[in-house]
Amino acid sequence: MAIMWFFLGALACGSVWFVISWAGKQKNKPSIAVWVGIVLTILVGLFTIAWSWSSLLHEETQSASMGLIVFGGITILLFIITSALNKRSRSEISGDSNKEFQSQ
Amino acid sequence: MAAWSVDHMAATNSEYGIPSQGLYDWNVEPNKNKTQFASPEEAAVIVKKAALFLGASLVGITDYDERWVYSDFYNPMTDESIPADFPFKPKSVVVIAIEMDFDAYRTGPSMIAGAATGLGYSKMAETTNKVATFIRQLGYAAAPCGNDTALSVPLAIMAGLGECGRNSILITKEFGPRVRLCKVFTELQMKADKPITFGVKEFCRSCKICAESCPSEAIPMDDDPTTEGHNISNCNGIEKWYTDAEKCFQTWADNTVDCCNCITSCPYNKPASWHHDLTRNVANTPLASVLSKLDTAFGFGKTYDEKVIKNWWKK
Repeated sequence: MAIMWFFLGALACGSVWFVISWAGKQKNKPSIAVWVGIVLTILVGLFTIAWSWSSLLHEETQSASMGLIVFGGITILLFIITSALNKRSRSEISGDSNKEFQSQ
Repeated sequence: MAAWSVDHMAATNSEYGIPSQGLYDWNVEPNKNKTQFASPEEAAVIVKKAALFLGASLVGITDYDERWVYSDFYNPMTDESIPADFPFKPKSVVVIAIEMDFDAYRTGPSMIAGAATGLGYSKMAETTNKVATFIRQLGYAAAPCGNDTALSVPLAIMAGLGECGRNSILITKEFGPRVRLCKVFTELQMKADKPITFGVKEFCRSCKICAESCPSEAIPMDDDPTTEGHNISNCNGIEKWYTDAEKCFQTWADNTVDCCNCITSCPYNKPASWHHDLTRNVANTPLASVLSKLDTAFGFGKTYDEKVIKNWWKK
């Protein structure tokens, strides 16, 4: 169990580092909705791993599988929604930049 | 037999409610030097710590309340009724819960689960004897009891050990219904604990898993509790879900082994782990009705699982 928490801690740190460096490379800052989506995706994703791992440690194999399906499914859904929000906000921003360019 | 051995040798037939015999003997004189405590609170702290050290899984204290004490003590072996008569005036009751093995109960209903029950009875006799001895050494009379003398479930509820579930037994936060209860009546006045609630009644209203898994259909499927029992084996007047104890016990007799389906299948019956603690807290919210369905979907509370029985021996 200690190894699980160590691994999750490392994964959480790695995710935060990845997201910050990704955000830094973006021309425009992600919107608040995208940030919320990113945080929720990471948290639910970590919860999925923690639930399934703990279930396996207690030999609750069906619980582990259902955890992957239910919580993993929610993670994927959140990821898709966050990506869509990010694409939409980027296309809105590039649309506004084009209008500015054309008006000049 | 091995698990029951202490109970059979040193507290014979205590499971049938025979008081004051063997390890449950009441007729032991306390120490002549009475320890004076600074307050009933101090006495409670010390006795509870001792009880946990001496083998209790959970301990609570409640004031003596004759509503829960049997009017007569009945010996089923001799078919005699003896008037209820403590050798002293009890003031407090130390209520003790003994955890039963989770993995053994997963095999229920089986002889392995029955052995876990027997081990519980053996530990009850041993632990109450030790706690009573501790109190007597402090200079106060004590009467250790198992199933006998008084109703353990309401005493445990009053002592703050848990709530009453649909299956009519105590549901604790830590172990669910997977506990055996015993108590020690004493003339030592201690500060009583308060009853607790953590959402069991509301959860049980929609759950019904124990009723569905009961082979004798002894547990009611009604949404709401009632104040009327089924027969003479119920004590009417308390608002709860009443189990038909006669149907339940008949199934034990027919199967020649204790049934524990209601305990094994209960969603509150879980091993200690963070994710079970989390769902227990979520059970105390409007999500309760969803959680009981998810409990089954996630594979918990299975009974009659032959694979679990075979694997138990290999673990």
